[in-house]
Amino acid sequence: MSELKTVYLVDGSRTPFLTQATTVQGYSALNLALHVSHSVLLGHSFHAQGLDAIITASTACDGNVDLARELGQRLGCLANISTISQTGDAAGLQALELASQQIALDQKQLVLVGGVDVLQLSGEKMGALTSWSQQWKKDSQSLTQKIRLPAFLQRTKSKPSTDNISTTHTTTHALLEPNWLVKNKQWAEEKAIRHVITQDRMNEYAQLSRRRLQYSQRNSLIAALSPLFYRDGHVISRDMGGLTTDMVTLSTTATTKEIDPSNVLSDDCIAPAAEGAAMLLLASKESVIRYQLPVLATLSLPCWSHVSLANNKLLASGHYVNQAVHDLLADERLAMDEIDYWECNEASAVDVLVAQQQCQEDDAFALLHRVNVDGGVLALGNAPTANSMRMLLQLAHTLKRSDAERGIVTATISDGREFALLLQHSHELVK
Amino acid sequence: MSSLQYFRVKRRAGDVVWLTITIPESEQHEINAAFLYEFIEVLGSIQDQGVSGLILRSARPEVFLTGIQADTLSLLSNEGAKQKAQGFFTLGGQLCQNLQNMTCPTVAIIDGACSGAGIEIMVACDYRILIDKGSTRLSYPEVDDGYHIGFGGLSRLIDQIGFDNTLDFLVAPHSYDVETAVRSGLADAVEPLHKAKWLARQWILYPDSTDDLGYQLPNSERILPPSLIVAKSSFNGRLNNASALELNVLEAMIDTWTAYAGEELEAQQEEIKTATALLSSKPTQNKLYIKHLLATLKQEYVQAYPIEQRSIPQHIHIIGSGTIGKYMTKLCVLQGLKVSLYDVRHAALASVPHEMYAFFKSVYPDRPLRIQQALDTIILDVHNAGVKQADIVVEAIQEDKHAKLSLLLEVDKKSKPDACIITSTACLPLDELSQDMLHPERLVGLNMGHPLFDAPCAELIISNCVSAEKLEQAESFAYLIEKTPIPIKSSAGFLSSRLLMAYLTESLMLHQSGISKTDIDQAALAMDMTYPPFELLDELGLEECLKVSEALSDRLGYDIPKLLMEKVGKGLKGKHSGEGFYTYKNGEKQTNILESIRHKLPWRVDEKSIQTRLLERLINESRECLNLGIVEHADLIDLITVIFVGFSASKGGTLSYLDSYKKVAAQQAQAAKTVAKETSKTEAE
Repeated sequence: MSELKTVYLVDGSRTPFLTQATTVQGYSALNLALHVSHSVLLGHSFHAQGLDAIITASTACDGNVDLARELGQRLGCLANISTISQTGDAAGLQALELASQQIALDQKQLVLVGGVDVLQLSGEKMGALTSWSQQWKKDSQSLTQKIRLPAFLQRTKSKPSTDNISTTHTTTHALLEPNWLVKNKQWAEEKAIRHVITQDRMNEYAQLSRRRLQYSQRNSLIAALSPLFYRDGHVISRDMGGLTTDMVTLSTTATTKEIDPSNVLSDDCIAPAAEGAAMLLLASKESVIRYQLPVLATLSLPCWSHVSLANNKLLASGHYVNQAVHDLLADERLAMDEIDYWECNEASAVDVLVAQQQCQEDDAFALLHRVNVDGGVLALGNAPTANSMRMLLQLAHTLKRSDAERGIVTATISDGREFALLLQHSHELVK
Repeated sequence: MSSLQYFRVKRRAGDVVWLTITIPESEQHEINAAFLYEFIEVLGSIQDQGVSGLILRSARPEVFLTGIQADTLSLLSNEGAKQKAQGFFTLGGQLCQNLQNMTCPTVAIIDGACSGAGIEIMVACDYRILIDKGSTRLSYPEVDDGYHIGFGGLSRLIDQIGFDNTLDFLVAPHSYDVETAVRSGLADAVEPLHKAKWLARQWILYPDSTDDLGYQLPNSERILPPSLIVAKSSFNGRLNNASALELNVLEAMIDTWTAYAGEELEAQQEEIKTATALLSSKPTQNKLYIKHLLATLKQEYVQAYPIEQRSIPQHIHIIGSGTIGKYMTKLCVLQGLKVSLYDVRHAALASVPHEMYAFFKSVYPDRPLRIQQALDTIILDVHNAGVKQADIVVEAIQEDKHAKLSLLLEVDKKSKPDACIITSTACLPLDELSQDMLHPERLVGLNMGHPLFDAPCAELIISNCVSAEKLEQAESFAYLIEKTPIPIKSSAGFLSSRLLMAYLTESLMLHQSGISKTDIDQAALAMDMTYPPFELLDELGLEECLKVSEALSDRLGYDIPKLLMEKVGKGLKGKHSGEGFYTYKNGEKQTNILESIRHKLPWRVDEKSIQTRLLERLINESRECLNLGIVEHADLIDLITVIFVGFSASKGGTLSYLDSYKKVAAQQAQAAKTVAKETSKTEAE
């Protein structure tokens, strides 16, 4: 087998992550992706036609809609395009793997890969919801009306979509799908109970994440953020984490909060659903030289490990969380202490805390100051596929900023699989 | 019949003759005398040949027929070419008469732009079908230039669609799209091309099916005598916004119609006379002279640089999203160029999506895909990333020398080595702006004026050190965005800002001396200036005017009007802030009660003296510019005064006006001398 090529992360950009639904007058999934793609491609000498492939992942498209194809058309690009679209949070990581594999195997030279999620209900539902909520506001003196709201929201979201319009704007954000949500919460809850993570610790971590985000925002450490410009004239140029209390927001965030089987998890330690898009530009060495591209970092091929929920033996062994990381380190012949920074997916605070707990013996995760140093999705809001790209982009910039060498992006996804990917920042390479 | 130059004649099934027009020498299908001769000949050969019908269409898909070819027009509008003009119009009148008198039905299929002569020929046909697409538009732009195509079309139009509708059509600020045209009765049907052909044959072969066609005149126009209909129309304020040149045409049309209503032949004969008179009138000739200047500039460029030799930019990076930045973005996007728009202020960029959406929605109504395509080419760049890759970088920030200096230095360092750097400064000399640049030869100025003027040309500012290659690049860019560049030597205020500020400063000085702004505005309007000075100041923005005024004052020793400084000091910035010299509410000028009754007051301000001062200042400034050699020819000063200062086109620009004034004065002096001589003779006798 021929040697694998090095994969370079050249550039990337993302939109702010928004926990408010803006789809009624805002960006559709396609427009979000296009907006970010423009930002990524603008500073480079090749035009969109120079791209070999566009790979997008989204939880907001149904299987019939090819987001990447539409994106390619709007960018004026004739590249091979593929969309990975599924209602789980693994789509982004799969897209990333596909892109880096294609470059490593010398099939493609320049790939635009990204993830996009929108907080959306189909237009019909949103219309009904808005009119109903206006009515509710009017009649708010009546207790019956007040009580009807959560029930109505639940009913509206549980109803399968009846839209037949073939656009990217019809299906609902993964985190707003009640089934997925229940599974996710159960999974987090089980983990919390098994590893004796208390609610206080989870809350403490959630607060830490928010403080870190605020610090990064204040000191302009958030990398490659592309502001969103709306037609009504307002601009969002920073992540709008946290919850607000207007009706539309409530309608889209309520479901992430209303199902809590045993009160093990508090509201704050589960990341709220958010919308956003992130795009990365990956390139082979030939493309880097050809177009004189600046290099942010090099990527290893991702490592996956699978742990099923029922596999209690492995869970008890105390190594399950780090299985993918261990495999990755073994592949790369690195030790834990050689890793400078970590980006760990924090869909719930449990994920990070369990990882920390399990890693203590290796003394890598023990100090949280090297994990998610600029805040994570607990503070930002969780746009599952876009977040995969965001973690990579943020880690690359963190390495560059602090002149560090290596970082690992790791995630545990809802079906129990783990993911780990190594980023290396080489000074020589940048020169 | 000898071989035809302009027509393809095909006799097809059902004895229907298809007459396809092609005018090879004119891309816009403009007509000339040869075309008219050949058309008459073709019609003569078809007549009485057992033809069941005639279908008229154009071979070019985007245009049917438009106006008169420029060469022909300049021949006809020359002084002393009255007979030629009359001959030409008589020929056209004859053609339309023949077309109307054809024994078989005639159908015109209009696919693309149709204006002027096209309208005259179209209305002589029995039926008209418009092709349902955006580029099918009907207009009569000749009225704006102060003449009409005297083929008898105006009386036919009134007969067919009524007086009110004709008036609306002639003075409409925009051309009519297919829907408006059908609604006003100008066409009988709107169909896609394949169906239009079928329909035209159908109407010819089965004439019964066309019974329900035909525009129904409003009841009042059937009952009332012409004079009352005219009175009603003018009472409705239809002519309020018409310019002096338009009014000349409309007056001629109304006179003809009221005098010869119902007498078709006489009315058409009269139209030939009025068209000839209007075309040879001084105001129309001056207007055509200005147009001719522009056309000549364009033609010279096209000859010097054929399209394959021009450098076509792919990516334009615009820095500054103010009025000029946005205007330039629109122009670039209309030509399909990719634009990245950068501004340090996110708030300034925030207004862009809405404004662009509204603009392209008006340009491409009911074409969401086209709007989306246009909007996709605009990239709001918050990191100034586009500067590195753009072929042309445009600086469009505020008129601040130091800000421009540092920005241009940065752009010079960051941009591609072969990129052309364009500054949109309205008054700062280029040599001052390029002093810090590493490559000053890359800097070219392109002053397009305020979007309000919507000028068809732009000032191409040439500094001493600019390279020929970059100049050609900038020139090509200007042509690409449909702004004919006028080469101007770099100096303070260039030409347009200098003349415009002379006009505005003089008005402000007059106002400072105690004359009311309304009187000055009215006097300016009365001398046929396009923009009254104080309304113009409010539109342009007082702050911007002050900045330009300060720049000119430093370099040319202009006075800065105290009043302007006071207004800006008070925070009154003009129309967009709600108050300047006038107050505005929702963009509408509010009339002061005192101003509204001013004309009823017993005393009058001497309008003539105000006009003289404004004229004198403008003419003196123009002469100085000419003496300084800012432009090569006096013609260009005329062009700039008309387009950028709003000087009356019917006067033909400041220097042209001065010439004609001198001639008249000399004639008067000569006449006075003769009279004096005769008087002295008689006295001696």
